[in-house]
Amino acid sequence: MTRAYLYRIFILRYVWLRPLRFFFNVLGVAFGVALFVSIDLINGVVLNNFNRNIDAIAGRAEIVISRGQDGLAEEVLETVIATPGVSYAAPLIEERASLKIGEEFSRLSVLGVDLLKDQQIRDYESEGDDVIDDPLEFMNQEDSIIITKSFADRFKLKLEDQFSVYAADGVKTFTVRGMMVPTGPALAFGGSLAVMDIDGARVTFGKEGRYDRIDVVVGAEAKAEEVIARLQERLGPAVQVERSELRRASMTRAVRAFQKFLVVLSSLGWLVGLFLVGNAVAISVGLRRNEIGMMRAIGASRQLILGLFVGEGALLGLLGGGVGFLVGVQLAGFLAAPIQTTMATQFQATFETIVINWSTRDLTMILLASGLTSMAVALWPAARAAMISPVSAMRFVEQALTKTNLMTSLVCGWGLRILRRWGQSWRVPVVSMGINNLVGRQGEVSLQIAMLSLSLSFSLFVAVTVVSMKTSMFTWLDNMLPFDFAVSGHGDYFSHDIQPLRDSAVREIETALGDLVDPESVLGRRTIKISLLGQQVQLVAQDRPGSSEVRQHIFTVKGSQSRERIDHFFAPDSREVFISESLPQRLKKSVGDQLEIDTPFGRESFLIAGLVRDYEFVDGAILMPRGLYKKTWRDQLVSSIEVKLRDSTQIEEARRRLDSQTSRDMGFNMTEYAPFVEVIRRQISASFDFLRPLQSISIVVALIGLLSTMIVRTSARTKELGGLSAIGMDKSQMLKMLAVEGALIALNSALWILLMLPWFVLWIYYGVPLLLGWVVDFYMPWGELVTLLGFGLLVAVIASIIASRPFFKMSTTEALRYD
Amino acid sequence: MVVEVSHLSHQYQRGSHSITALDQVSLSVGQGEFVAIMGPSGSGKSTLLQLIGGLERPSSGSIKIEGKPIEHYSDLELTQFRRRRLGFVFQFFNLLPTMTALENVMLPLLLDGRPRSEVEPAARHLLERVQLAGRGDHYPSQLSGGQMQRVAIARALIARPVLLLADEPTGNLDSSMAGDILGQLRTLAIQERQTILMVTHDPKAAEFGTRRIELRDGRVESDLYFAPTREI
Repeated sequence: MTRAYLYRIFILRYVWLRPLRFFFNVLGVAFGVALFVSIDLINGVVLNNFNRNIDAIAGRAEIVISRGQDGLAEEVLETVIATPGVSYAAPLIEERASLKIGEEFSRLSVLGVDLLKDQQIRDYESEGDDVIDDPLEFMNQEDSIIITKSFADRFKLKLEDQFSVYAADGVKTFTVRGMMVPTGPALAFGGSLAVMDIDGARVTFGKEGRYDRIDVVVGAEAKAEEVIARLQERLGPAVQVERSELRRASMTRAVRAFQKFLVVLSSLGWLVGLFLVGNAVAISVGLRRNEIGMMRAIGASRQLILGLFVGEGALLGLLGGGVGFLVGVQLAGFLAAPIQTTMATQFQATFETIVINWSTRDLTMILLASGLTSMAVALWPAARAAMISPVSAMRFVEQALTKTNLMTSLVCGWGLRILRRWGQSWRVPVVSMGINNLVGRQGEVSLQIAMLSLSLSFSLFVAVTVVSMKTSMFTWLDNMLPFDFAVSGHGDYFSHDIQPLRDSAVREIETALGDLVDPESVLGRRTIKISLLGQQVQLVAQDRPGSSEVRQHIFTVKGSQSRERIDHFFAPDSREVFISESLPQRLKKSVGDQLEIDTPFGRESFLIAGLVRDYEFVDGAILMPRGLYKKTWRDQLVSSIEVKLRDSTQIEEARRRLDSQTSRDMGFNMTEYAPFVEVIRRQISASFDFLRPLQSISIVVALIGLLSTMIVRTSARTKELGGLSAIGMDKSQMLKMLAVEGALIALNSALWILLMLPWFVLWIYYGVPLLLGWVVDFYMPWGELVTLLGFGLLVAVIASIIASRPFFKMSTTEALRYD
Repeated sequence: MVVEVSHLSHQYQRGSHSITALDQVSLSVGQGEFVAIMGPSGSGKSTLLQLIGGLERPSSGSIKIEGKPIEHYSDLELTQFRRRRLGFVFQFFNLLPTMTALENVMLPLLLDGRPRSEVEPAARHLLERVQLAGRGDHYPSQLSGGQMQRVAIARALIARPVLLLADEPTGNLDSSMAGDILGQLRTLAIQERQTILMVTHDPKAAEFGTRRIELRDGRVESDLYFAPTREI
């Protein structure tokens, strides 16, 4: 009780008497915390949406059997059913499909199920009396489709209404025969889900002879782990057999990697805030040195002194955490849209609209984390306070902020020495005085320089990350896409969320284009996700371009002899693959090694013939000739068809011929590459937009930190300026001197930034690949660097002048007496 | 004896030089004595006070307070010893600016874990004794120099110390206020037999004491007992 009273009067009264400084410090911590909170809340919501989709679809299944996008051969189902311990197995087709409802287009996820049997695993509930209660009726009518009530409401659809689905063979018409209320699978994808008969789905989406997954219910007396072991043994390592809850973990791995990247960046914002706490407590210790000495003299123990200053840090952390949490919730609302765009682009996935929710548990965790981390950073200055000798009480000196020690020499002593040598060559009195003022106040100045350096470095760190990633991607983009346009089925070509087409579409387009194209200039491309060594990887199968010029630009092969390597890659008997730069580390394979890939029809071995730069697929890509893929995977679908015209100016003619000479039912989409590249550029730029607030916040925190450290010296500064005024320095000379001091602080911080650059290079070459899986080159953001240094200069000069403002409001004699 | 100092020496380092602040000092102080320690700058008077007050440890020699040697006390024992047995009055008052006069007076006992309800009546009584009864709720910034020093005296007395140590208690006050403070200290010594050790460079201040010890170059140059010449 007595101790609590002591804490209250020692900490709270101190704060109460200096509200402005405390307010600035709380604000600085709050900004750092806000950034972290906003990213954390968005990450949580995105991951929950992702998991909810997975759980809603899984239903009562305890085990899920799958094999990437290339699916499972249908014979697998017999093996599964015959495995001891399996009570029930339901196959499933999963597809994203394009629809035309009246004049509107939309995308939704389609589940192909055997409704008669599937209700053992998933609950399909309807409001009224429809086919969900009579599965036989549903199966007997081939055009049946069940949609969710929310989807029906969105498009004003009723039972027996019809709409078109863009299928592998062209447009098919389906009739709404059931509506699901929001339970079970109807909860997935925000209700954008439809159910059709499994056989109809296989034909519609070109997946004959395959299933996308098989869901298994284990018998009452069997143990799931034992059944998994048996299934894995029978199906081989190519097939993933997982508990349904573990499947969620493997599905979310890629999302988590991107989220980790965001967390690293936002944690740095918090770190800047924490530095502010350490800074504030260190200043408090410096200013209260005499009080500490006096308290020690009259009997305060070292532990009590330690506790008092750690308590001050905790107070800053708790208040900053609380305010930061509330600001973070608001900030999350602003950042949600750009982050959602980035993730949808990178994971080729559709996420529900992000609605930011928070709980008291989130708030408690942030308060705890902010309080504890702030206490941790306050520990060092608090320990120094506890070590202060009580004899200090006998001496009235303001030494903490003026004295020089190893730490201040490390932070600013060396920089000031360099600047002094440089400044003296100017032979301008205010410059020399400015430098000498800083040299004489290294304790205080080191805090200001550390604050500004940290904030500018953080801001530059974000800029280096953004510019390096963007420039690497743009350079790759400029060297890529040697085609004039692409033709695809319905969907979003950019995010690969498109309906695959039959192989025959390639010939149909070639025929339609006729003399506009050379032989082997209309090329099929198939992209599917496969599972390789337990990881999701993109397989890209590409037709061989006839033109050697197109061939050389189709992949960015690293190293020498790329021309020969590509020719060899496309040779008729080739069994070679290229892999993207991020894969060797993940797969523990390098060029020249054999890569074993499990196809639906057994394990096959391919030679890794080269590394390619690729930013199209975040999971990493394996490239192979499509001829080899078709033979091995027995897959005749193409995801897109790329076209190189003889004369690139004939695009409009090509469009006319495609419109007039191909089946409209195919729903062909033509994407011109020139504007497409521009769209990609814009999307890449937009996907980094959410990092801008991080930079702004770090600058605001720098200003707050600088102001806070400078304001504490206002009294001494005012007397000092009064003294200079008394000996004849006029106010304009003083303003110049203060501006020089601010500029020197900024320049010293700039020297620190130069020292940080090698670490930024290491981050780009090692940190980014480790976190994101992308290999990027280092690019110096010169424009941002100049802007940041200019801004740092401005901030330091403004802070220096603001801190001296009491002097300019009073006479010389008042300034000399100022306390 | 309240204080017994025997062969006390103290050296400290300044750069590469070793400076001797005190050299083989021996002295004793009995209860109720009001000792003024005088000497020029650098004579070792403040060092002597700090060593007796347990604020620093001697290089050699012994210090006994109430017959107990304090030079081997641990840091925590010294802290408790200062809190319970000593009172300090400093030149610059050293009141906590964030606490009221009353809270400053209560502070040593609060640090000792005593509840506010128990400490407050004693603190108010002491403020009355130093003629600051109506100023308990004032912050130090709202008090004059003399009033601040009287609060500091009240704070030094709250734990009923066996020894009161004052380092230039009037060094920062004008002569009228200085006389007031010194008068209060002498009253304490004579009427309540409070032992006081006061460092001062002011001969007029020393006249309030009952004994004067002169230090020079870390040694005792003279040690004179005399009846106080100044009236209370």
